Amino acid sequence: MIIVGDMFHSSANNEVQYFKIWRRQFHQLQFDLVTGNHDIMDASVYEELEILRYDALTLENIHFVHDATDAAVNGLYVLSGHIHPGVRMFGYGRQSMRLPCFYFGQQYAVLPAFSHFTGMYMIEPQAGEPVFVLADKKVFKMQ
Amino acid sequence: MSEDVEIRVLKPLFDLQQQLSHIPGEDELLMEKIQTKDGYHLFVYPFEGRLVHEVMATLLAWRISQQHPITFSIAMNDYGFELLSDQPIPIYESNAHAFFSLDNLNTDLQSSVNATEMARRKFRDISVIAGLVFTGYPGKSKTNRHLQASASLIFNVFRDFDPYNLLLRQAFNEAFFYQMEEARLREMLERIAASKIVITEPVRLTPFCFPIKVDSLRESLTSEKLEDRIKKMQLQLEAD
Repeated sequence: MIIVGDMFHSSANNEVQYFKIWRRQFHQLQFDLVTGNHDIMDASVYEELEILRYDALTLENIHFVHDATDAAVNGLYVLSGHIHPGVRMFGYGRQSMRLPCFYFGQQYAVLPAFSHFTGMYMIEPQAGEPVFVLADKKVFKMQ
Repeated sequence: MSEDVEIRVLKPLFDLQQQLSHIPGEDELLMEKIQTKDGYHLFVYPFEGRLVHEVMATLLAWRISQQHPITFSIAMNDYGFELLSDQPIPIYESNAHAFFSLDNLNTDLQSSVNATEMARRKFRDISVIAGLVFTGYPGKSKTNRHLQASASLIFNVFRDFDPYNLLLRQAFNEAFFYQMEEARLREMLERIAASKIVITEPVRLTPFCFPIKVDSLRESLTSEKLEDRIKKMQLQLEAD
């Protein structure tokens, strides 16, 4: 399991405790955390949760990083998080909606994130770039 | 009267309105159904003022949306309101009176307020007064749009995790009681019940409808499933 950052929201909280209980059942699973700006807990906490930490990870031709803008351009495809991507959609009858999405660009992809307090960073994909929006607990391919 | 400057200046507009559609008499309610590249418009002209029109438009949208799944964008001004949809709006001279009926008025009003953003907009002022959002420094205050965005996030969190929060309830109460002007609304519905409803289908936009159509402060109301709406939509792509 590879996580591209911001696994917990900053300091130790209830989520960490819940995760610890869940983690005990799956010792065989390896957790690799590419650290993001919110992964700031003491090293001992991650050790106890059996999470390995990296600044970036490369697996064959895929480069995992928290923020795509930090990725070195070296021909690898970048898989990132950080920005809570969203797209605006419009329809006939002046309808419009903003929804969180997966974005797969030419050089990099951004995974979605959900939070009640952060809103979304609106991206404007180019024609043909795969975008999957999420709504009603379903995923829809938009292009 | 025809000597008045105002009347003389406006005469060509009235003539155009009459030619394209109709000028309603005192005992008539005019509705115009027009199709443009934006979609299917329904304009209604009760001449009752913006506040009453807002309530009336959401009430009508709610009642139509209960018959079959449909999504509306709603706009209004001081003399009329507009419902805009991506599908034809099923209102005709035969069923129009029923949509303005006084039956179940309270229940329908309550439901239509819940179905729109009215309470959310009321919550902006409430959250400012309660000190939940920062309005900016003196001389450098935040825009209403910015405040609305901040208040909206808090509104969503209360709605999802603390539905009995007093500030949230206050927003719904204000939307319901202050905005509704229920007495005026009832009076108007009674007047409509006694009037003749005239529905025209002009081939292009009329002088009456134009100012409403260009209004950008819109509400929306839907009874369609999110999934069905998404399937009809397109992405906003990068502008080149």
